Amino acid sequence: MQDRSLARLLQTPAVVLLLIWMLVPLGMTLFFSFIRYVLTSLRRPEWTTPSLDNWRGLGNYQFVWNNDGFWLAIYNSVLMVGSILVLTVVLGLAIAVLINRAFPGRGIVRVLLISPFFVMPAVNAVLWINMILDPVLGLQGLAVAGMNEMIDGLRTFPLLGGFFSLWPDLEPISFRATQTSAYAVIMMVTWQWTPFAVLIFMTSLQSEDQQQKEAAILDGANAWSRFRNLTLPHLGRPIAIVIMIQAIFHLSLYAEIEIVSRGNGNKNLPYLIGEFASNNIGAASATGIYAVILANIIAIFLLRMVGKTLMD
Amino acid sequence: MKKLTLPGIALVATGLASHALADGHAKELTIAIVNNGHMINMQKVAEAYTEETGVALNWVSLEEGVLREQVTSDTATGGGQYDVINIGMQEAPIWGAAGWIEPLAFGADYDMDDMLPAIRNGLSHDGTLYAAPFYGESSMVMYRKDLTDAAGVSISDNDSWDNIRAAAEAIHNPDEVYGVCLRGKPGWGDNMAFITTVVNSFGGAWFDADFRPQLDSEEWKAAINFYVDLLGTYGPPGSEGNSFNEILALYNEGKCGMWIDATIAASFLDVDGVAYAQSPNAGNPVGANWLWAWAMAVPSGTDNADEAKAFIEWATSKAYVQAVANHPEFGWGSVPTGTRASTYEFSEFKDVAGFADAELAAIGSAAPEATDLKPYVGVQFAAIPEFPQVGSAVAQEMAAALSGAKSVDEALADAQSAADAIMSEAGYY
Repeated sequence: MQDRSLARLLQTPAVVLLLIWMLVPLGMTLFFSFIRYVLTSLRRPEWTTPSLDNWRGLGNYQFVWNNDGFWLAIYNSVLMVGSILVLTVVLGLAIAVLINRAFPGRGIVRVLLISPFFVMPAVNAVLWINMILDPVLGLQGLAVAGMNEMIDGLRTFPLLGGFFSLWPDLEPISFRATQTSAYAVIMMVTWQWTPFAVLIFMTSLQSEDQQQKEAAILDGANAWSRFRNLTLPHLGRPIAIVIMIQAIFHLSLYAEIEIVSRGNGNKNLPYLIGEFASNNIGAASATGIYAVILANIIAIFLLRMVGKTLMD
Repeated sequence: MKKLTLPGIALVATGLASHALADGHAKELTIAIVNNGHMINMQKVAEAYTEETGVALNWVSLEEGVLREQVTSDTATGGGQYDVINIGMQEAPIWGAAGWIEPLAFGADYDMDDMLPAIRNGLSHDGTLYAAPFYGESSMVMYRKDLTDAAGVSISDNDSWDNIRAAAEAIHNPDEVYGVCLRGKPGWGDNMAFITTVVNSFGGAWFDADFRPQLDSEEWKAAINFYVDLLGTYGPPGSEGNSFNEILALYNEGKCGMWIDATIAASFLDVDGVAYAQSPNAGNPVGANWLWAWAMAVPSGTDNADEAKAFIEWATSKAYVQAVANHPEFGWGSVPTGTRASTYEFSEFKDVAGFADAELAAIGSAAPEATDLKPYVGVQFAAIPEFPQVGSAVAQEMAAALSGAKSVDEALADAQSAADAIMSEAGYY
């Protein structure tokens, strides 16, 4: 008994430190979310100091709930996280299986495949939106302009020209617009995080039982049913891990949103918090608590899923 | 940069420490600056200041939005991280009123009357200067005279918006050049800076005397309909993502026939045949030019207020303009403009800056003071603490209208309800 209490005593500093680390910020956020607290106000200077006198109850929560941007932000958070998860897992699986066999230059291909993951998120966003997706000076703009020119050239041909003159001119898509900016973010984050999925899947494919596969071939199973019935179940656990880790990361997307369109059409919860935090700390804290709740709901679903695959 | 050896650093450090102990003053200033050209140059020019006075300068250079966040939270909570801060015209009067920054008064050599009156008014609260202007700007039309001549149209000073539209139509040729490039990227300092000048010229304003938002007024509807139509019809695709830097790139690629933006842009233009005109106006006294300045202020939390004020006095003086002009790496083309009348009197400056007269006229005609028509301080913004929040909410609605996700009426109705929620939440009514 003596030994155990000594061990507990020795653990105490670390545990206390961890608790402080976690509880103090959360406690302050909770406190700010229940009071009026703004950085500056000419009308109500008393709101600029955080104090219990400015108690507001659930007022901040109500203000955020009724905010036009709030539901859009939740929708965008879920849309972006969900799409990125599906795309990275599907693409990651396909690429991992594709490069699992031996071929010349496999080492180089693998390094190239992994490299997007080491690009910083802000750099990733700047590259994509300015150099690839820009409708005038980007790759997209140049490609569309080039194709229009080509079609224009074809129109001058006798006979065939009549057919091509029926074609409309292509219009470049603006990926900074309200309707498309969320897809731009999904695209660039998918590009960056697919390598992460590939990396995890690739390592776990190495441990796949080759004898089992050979037996399946002898039994006449085709490639699809070997993938469906052997490889996919084998990858169940890594898939769950990839989904879990990515969900945590992508719920807090910010840099890409700021750079693509400043929240126009792709505003998520962290971005909304940032907008409130320019002055209204109370509302920003309440949004933060909502974000914690949303993250927990998603985590419960994902934990169940992970738990299930671990059981199987 | 010179390499310091470790003993060298130790020597300097002990030297500083003993110095500080000796006269009881810290000889070190931490300065937060925005990372645009003029401020970056200042870091080099100020090496002479350190040599002369022995005051060491630590620079913290940040992007505009980040700087604003950092400085706001540091100043609001009395953090005292910085001795000198770069702030804009939106913050200066508010922070002065809140007592966050110290009032500034300089010696006779400084020649306060040389400062452009519009800029000085915009940085003062109740007649007291709270931030000294480092560089100032307004907005104007920068158009390609070769294209307008070829198309047989002309653009004059304070032209009518109808004429601007006609000129854009005449030079618009999407394969080669777009009729007009304007800001569309959401942000209170981005698309709203330009849009507000259009609204001003149509006779609209952000708020009425009770600070109730006026975004559903007829003037706003007329102005936004005009803006969306002009830029949507004769602008480049993807305009909802374009702000100063993006349009500058397009303009220098020869893709823009006309651009209405900050006067400072003129010094970066790299195409032939550019001519300048004062911004279009429908005869409204608020004018169609915006007014902005990056200024330097001393936060109340600092312990080195005297040294900080002395530095600001130097950095915004006539002597500083000369120091940049005579610096081996810079010259008259790089002097900060838009703050002092005397700068525009140097013939060396006028020789390298073809835009000088247009810029001076544009700044002179901007009116930041509160009037009956516009009951708040500021031209393309309102100098109230809630404006950045209101401005960015409205900015996103305007970008949605521009990209066709919403009709102009829908966007303005949504903008009005968002602004109304923020203002009533802030306790105005």
